[in-house]
Amino acid sequence: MEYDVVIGLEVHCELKTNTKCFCGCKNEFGSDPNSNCCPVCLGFPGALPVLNKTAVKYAVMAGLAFDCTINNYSVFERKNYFYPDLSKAYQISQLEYPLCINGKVNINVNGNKKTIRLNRIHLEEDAGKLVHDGVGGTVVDYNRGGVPLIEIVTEPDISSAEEAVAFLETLKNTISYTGISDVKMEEGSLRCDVNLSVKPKGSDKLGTRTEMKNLNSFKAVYRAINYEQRRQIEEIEDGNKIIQQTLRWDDSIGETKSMRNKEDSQDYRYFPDPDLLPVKITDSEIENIKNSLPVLPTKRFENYLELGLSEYDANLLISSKTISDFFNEVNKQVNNAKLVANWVINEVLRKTEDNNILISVQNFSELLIMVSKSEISSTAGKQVLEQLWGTNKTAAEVVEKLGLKQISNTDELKQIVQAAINNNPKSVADYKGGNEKAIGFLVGQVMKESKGKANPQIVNKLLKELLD
Amino acid sequence: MDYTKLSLLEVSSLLQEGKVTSVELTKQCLNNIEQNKRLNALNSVCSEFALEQAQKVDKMRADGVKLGALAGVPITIKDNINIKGLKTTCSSKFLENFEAPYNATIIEKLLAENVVIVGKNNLDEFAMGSSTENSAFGPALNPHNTNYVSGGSSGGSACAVAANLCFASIGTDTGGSVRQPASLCGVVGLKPTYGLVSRYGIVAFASSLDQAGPLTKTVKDSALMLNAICGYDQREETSNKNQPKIDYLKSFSGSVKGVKIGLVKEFFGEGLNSEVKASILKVAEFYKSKGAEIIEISMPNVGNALACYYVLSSAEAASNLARFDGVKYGVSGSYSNLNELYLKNRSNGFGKEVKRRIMLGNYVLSSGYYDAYYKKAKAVQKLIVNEFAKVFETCDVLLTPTSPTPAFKIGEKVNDTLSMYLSDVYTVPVNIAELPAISVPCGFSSNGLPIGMQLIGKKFSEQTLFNVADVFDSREAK
Amino acid sequence: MITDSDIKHIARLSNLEIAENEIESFKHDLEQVVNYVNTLSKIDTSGVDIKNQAVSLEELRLDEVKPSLSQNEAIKNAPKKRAGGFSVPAVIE
Repeated sequence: MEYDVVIGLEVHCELKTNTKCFCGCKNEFGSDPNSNCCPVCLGFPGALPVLNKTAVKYAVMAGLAFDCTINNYSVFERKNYFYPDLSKAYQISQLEYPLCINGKVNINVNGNKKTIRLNRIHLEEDAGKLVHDGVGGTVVDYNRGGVPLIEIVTEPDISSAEEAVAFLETLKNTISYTGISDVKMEEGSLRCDVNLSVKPKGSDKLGTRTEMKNLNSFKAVYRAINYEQRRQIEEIEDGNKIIQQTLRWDDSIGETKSMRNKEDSQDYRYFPDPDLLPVKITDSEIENIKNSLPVLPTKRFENYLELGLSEYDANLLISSKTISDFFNEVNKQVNNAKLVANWVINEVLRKTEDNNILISVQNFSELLIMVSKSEISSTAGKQVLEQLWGTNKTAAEVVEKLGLKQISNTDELKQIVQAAINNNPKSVADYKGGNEKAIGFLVGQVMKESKGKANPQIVNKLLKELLD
Repeated sequence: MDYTKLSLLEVSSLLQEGKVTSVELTKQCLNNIEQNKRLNALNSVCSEFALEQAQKVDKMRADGVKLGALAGVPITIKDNINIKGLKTTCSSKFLENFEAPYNATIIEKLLAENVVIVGKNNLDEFAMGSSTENSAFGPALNPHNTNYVSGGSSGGSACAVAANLCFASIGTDTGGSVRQPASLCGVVGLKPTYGLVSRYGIVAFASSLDQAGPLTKTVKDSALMLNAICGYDQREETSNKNQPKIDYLKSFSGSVKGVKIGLVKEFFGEGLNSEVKASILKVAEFYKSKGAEIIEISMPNVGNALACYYVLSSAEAASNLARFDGVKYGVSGSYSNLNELYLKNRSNGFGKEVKRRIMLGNYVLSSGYYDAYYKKAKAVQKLIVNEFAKVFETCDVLLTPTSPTPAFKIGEKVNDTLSMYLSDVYTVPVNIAELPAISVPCGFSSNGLPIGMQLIGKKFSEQTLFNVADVFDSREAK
Repeated sequence: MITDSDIKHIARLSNLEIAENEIESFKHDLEQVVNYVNTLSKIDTSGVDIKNQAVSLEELRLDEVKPSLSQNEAIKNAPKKRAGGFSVPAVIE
């Protein structure tokens, strides 16, 4: 019996606003416990929420980045449940009128293109943190409570662990371009819950789904999906029913465990928050926000293909906005996409740590222009780059200092080439006898004689001219 | 001389003329408070803080600092409003020891006026009730007859003003909680238009209905207090940005000539005490004699306001009171697990009425019932809003009784939940429609208990209400 | 008709402990009020728009940091505190 796996993801991203979603407390990680808190986010009696404009703008940016429809009228609702990290015993979230609905994320898994539909993106507040106190109790820190989150919900369009990871990578990359979130799973600014069910292949009827939480890396998502789909299939084949439940993934042992659940069979009693006014956003405001977005990776990918780059190279260039912006700026000056791409991918990307490119657009452009004009050889160029990386030196300076200027002057080279021919009659004979490769030896001799400065292409040309 | 019997305006003039000091006034009030402890109008008295404030004001006045009309006047504050450094108990065991870490916006405003706060008033627990019998600290007694309730939920506020323990009090009104106790104790009580007065720092009962309002001895005093507490507050989204910027003390033209006063047919039917009815009709006659036009109107939907109110207010309250979980504040104890922490804190901390409202609220919000109750009530609310809007096309104000009966005996209604709820029938529609209304004393029952009349206006018409109310309040033959 | 099981369910949602001997009383009170509010169902509300007046994007609060409470002020009223935070019985995740 073959099975289809049906997966939907719920992704949460912490927004990089200055203040929390409903109060003016600092949105900052790592402060002393409960030191970025006020009556509002602490849930003190009498405190009232006031919505953060930037949080709304960021949520709309996310929606626009994924082709969502932005609702002109949007409502905040209370999701009521008890848990120590929830200071008001309700989370302010959205239900009936979220900020963004419908949308899509295009993924590419080993050449297979697929569109994953989004159901919605809405804005809500984060809960505080629970910390084990080391002596058998728990301590609550509300610093994180009230931090704005966007919740991105997919339709159950994902069919495999590979697709899920591809989705998350594309999502993360696109959001990182907008600047609204750090989207780092390891830091908690990107979180993912997985809803998974299986059904007999081709069947219309969906199976019972389980929800998996505590997935702290893309790898964990991958492993967890594979584990859970296998587990469910085994259960079914053993004749058991799948129990709808929330499971906690334990990455250290590679298994899911049933959660002692705070939310099982919970009735959240959603209703519109009477302390908050609905938000209206006009079409022209949406248009303005759209125009403020940078060109996003999918579009840049298309642009790079149009410039003649390969899909592989284009993918590498869009992997970070910093790299892509760098490429774009440099190419504006050098105007040779293939050359620039080659150098950015093979040299710059390699040297870059934490997205820090330690050479200016100007200096790098100058270097590449020199290479493209054959003023220096490619090899020399790499040498120069080493010198320029992390400094303010210019390419011209270094080339001068190291004497790396390539000899491209035909007359100058003719002499050296003739000398090589004269000094290596055997190779000449080999070449004339049909061994094409022998010319390589002669080229090598010219290079040696010129201390590497001769332009190999011109040497090659001259050799052929003189020998043929 | 006993200044405590004077009105706020009178005593304010005396202060400004230097004929009395704030310290003297404060001492007299504190003395009255002490003498009348058994009235149980106050949960806490802050004599040191009060005398400190009074001294400060007297010194400023002596130094020639320009001071407002409220400076140095002793007032009290309902104990569900946060004053930094003082306890806010909401008359609940849950918050018995809760020290407010911040000031409500209206308190900031009042302190800026250099008012002298002498204590926090008793109330029905978490403002839920109509008699103050739901207080965890015992009911506030009616100063006119201590066998009777002072009304609720701002019973302590009404009692304190009526018994001359202070010159004014700030209460809160969600379904009549300022107006009804004012009526039962024979003082003036105002519920402002929703959004006129900031809710920030006031312990929420029903967020879409709550409004703080003054209880005073006269209508003019009420205007003075409203001047001090109204105003847009950016810490509250539902605070009204476009509210009129008016000096309400300038509301008094002294005339009701040509004012159209509506009598709502549905409010004079069954359940209305005959003496109260007679009293209100007499008021109508009075206004007519002063040149007002009395118009009989019908509001067929207004009777649905009570059902609407109990659904909406309970739902919001159930959610608002969920934050009382014993983690951030509450009563210390030892609990073996989280569930126990929640259950014990809440079950021991809340009184029966609060529990009833929370249960009712969660019932109407729960899965399967939300559409039929909460959503439905929201729609009915809109009908009532529209009906009032229509009525105000032909009337300037509406005249109604405040309470269907004068004060009832302590213990009389406390076990009859529905009967207690029905006593809000004239006040609740006002909150539902977000309108302003004022209750003014207009007589006494044959057994000496006060009767109050209510004037209802359209949104932001406090000026009109004050003027019309004052023509009656300051009439010669009282 | 409100049942004992309804009361227990609502009590659970409300995190309230209702003793066995209190159930009857709560049932009675709740039922009385619910019957009263059931009158709402008879009212014709077809065509009523319950959408509320909205606030425009421009009028929303600016993203500027305001002073917070100090840690001490934040935990001052906590029945149990530890290490700058609110102490609760162990929550096993």
